Amino acid sequence: MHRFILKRLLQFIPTVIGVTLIIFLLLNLVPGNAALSSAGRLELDPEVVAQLRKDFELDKPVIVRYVNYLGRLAQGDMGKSMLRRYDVSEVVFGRLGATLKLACAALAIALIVGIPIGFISALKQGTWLDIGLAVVSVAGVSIPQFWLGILLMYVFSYMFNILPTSGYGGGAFSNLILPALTLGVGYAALLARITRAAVIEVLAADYVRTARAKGLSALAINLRHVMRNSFVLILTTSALLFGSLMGQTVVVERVFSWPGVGSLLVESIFQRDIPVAQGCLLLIIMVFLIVNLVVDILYRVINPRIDFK
Amino acid sequence: MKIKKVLTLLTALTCAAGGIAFQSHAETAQKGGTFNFVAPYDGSILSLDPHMTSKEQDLLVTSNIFRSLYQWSVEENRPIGELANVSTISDDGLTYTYKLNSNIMFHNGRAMTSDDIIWSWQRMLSMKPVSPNAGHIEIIEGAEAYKAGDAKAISGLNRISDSEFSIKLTKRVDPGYYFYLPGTAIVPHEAVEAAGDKFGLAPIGSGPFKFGEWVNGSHVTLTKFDNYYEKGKPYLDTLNFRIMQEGAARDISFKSGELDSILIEAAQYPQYANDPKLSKNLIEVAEMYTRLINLNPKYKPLADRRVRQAISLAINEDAINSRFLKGKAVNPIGWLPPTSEGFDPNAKGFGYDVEKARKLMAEAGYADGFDLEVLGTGNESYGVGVVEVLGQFLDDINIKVTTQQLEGGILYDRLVADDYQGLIWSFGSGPDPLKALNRWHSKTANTSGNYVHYSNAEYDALLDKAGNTNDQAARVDLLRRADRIFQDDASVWIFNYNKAVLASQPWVHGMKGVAIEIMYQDFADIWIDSTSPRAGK
Repeated sequence: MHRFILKRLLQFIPTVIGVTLIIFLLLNLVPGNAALSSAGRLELDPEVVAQLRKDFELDKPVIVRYVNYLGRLAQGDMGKSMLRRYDVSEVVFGRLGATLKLACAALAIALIVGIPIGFISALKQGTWLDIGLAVVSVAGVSIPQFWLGILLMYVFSYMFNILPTSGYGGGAFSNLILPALTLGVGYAALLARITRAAVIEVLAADYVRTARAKGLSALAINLRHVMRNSFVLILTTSALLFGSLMGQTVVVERVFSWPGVGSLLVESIFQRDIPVAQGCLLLIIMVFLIVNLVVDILYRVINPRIDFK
Repeated sequence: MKIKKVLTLLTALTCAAGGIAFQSHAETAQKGGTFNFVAPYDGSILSLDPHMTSKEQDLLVTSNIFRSLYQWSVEENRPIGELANVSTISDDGLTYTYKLNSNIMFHNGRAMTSDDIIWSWQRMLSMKPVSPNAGHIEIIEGAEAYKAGDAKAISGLNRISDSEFSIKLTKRVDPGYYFYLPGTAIVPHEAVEAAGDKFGLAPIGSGPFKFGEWVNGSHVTLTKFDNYYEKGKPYLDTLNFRIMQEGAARDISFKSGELDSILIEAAQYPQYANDPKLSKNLIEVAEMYTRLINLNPKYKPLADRRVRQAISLAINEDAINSRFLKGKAVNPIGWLPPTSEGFDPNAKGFGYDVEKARKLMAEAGYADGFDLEVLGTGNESYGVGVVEVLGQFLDDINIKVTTQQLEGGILYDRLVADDYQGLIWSFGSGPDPLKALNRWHSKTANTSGNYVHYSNAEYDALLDKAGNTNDQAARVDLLRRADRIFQDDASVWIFNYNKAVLASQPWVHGMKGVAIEIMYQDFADIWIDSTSPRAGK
């Protein structure tokens, strides 16, 4: 197990280098004047623009800038924000907590709502209940986050006036509810569909038929065989969902003024704050890689027959 | 005699009563409470260091933490002395001597002196990367040499005493228009030196509010500064700026009573303007931003003045502004908006006259028209949507309009490279009318604002003359004449000035129509009454 973890960690290095190269090239090849954007407006004295280009090393070739960037990154230095003028690591890590909080809350909603609905749908396959839940799931997947966010805000903040409309509110739980619901609903619906499919597949397996033939009760079959065996697929999906959630928070963060990495990434791309955009992407990718590693380890815990070799 | 005495007494009583009435108006300002405002523009606040940013989103907050040498006066519609007042002006109109107002304290408890003015502006010129606001300081003699490292001090900036200093300018301009800007605010050197690059994270200024808390991407909280130099102000205890880009979210927050005032977007404007309750508390102002289409003279048909005039005549701006933009725009006349000191109230726009436009097209040899591609962003007020509407008007004079939507940075690159035929945008057109019109002076490079390479000797001469006169009325007259020439040459198609709209709750008092940028509210003057859910106790 230890060798496996070490091997996977070592695999991170070429992955990260490859990713940084792609990110760096993409962001630096995007048209637009980063020096002007760094000043926050489009009309500036040309001398000031030239000075800013020099100060931010934008006058150097892309490859020189990439090598310099990689060298600094190896020492843990993600560079300085062109707009904020202080360390990127502070800017990005300052936002990570809020995004993780939102992603975890949304994932919790997705798991708590999605898995039971999927199970019930599969067990009641072909009934009116199954059809009704399928309609709800499809609706959940299809609702645009922006529209749902505004709708929830209208109902809970304006009509009933029981929840704050937006903002981080010092990390209060009440501020988390609406953004987490908005983000979680779609994922809950998706997870319900995936769980339903996974459970139906397991229900048709030979070992379940054998268990039934042995005379085991439906509860025992569902708990011992169906749940456990369908859980591998559900776990994989949930982990992928979490990784995807990290990058999908942008709309919700914008609607609810939630101070996360997603909105920071989009802002920094539009504002051509290249170091911050690089930092955000790198962080999201690192979280994704770590989550995948954790899932691989959990596979083994759930099903010891899985061989890491 | 008795009658005279009685009349005198009555007059005195009336005056006293008037005084009381005026004072009582001031006294009715209630103290305390929390005000929830918005920072509605492009995303997070980036820095609260006024020298490090020129973004409105940042400066609308910093303008309440810091103070600049001058302050924009809504009442006088021009900058007036704030931290200091002019005591003398030299005969050549280049050297201004100032006396600092007494009792100006920084939030760290230290009194402001002349040295702080000098240190702050030297910092702007010497910081690395350079301050985006450094250009405003370069109007001072010796500033460029100091920035280049060729001088140890700014030669035109001299300390006379702790409370007196003088500024020598490079040319005859009103310094108020340069030094009122929030980006030229005065900072305490010891606090900046102690915090370094992070001064903008917990700033210390001399404004009515102290920095409280900043949750990046969510909100900034400011608290009342008890030693603010205007006695009795500010009235509010706490001021929150909530970062809210989404107009729909702001709308719900405002209607639920969470926000005390919001910026209204075009989509929401008709609802607010037509609602009997909401419309009572709207503040509308023609902001100093002129919306236009740059007509590139390097595209052959647009090099002909008659064609450009025909374009202006063939489009009904009023229809676009009232229907497509739902009335959230002010119809255009010249380059300067009605809130500008240089606006000519007697001037008239081109009007809408398709027959005359057709005649001009025929005279220019374009009776059969031509193709015109107009580039723009997706901005709802000055983007490709507007182009699609005006294309229907230009069809009448056989100009076939196509449009392409681009991202702002890419659009700018195309603009300065002259790689466009038409390009829709919004440019600042104030507050200094001379500076605003100088954008189109033939000596102004296209990268500095003269994007259409406008060149007219008569126009240049009027501006040069206006820049060399001390007679304010004569200057305004020259500027008005220049604006009329620019309008007549139709080098750009002007379609409106932004109508900025703020909606406030009924308990809010003191919000103003700030023409330079409506979000630059001076919260030293704003208060909330006891009907506010966040009123002081």
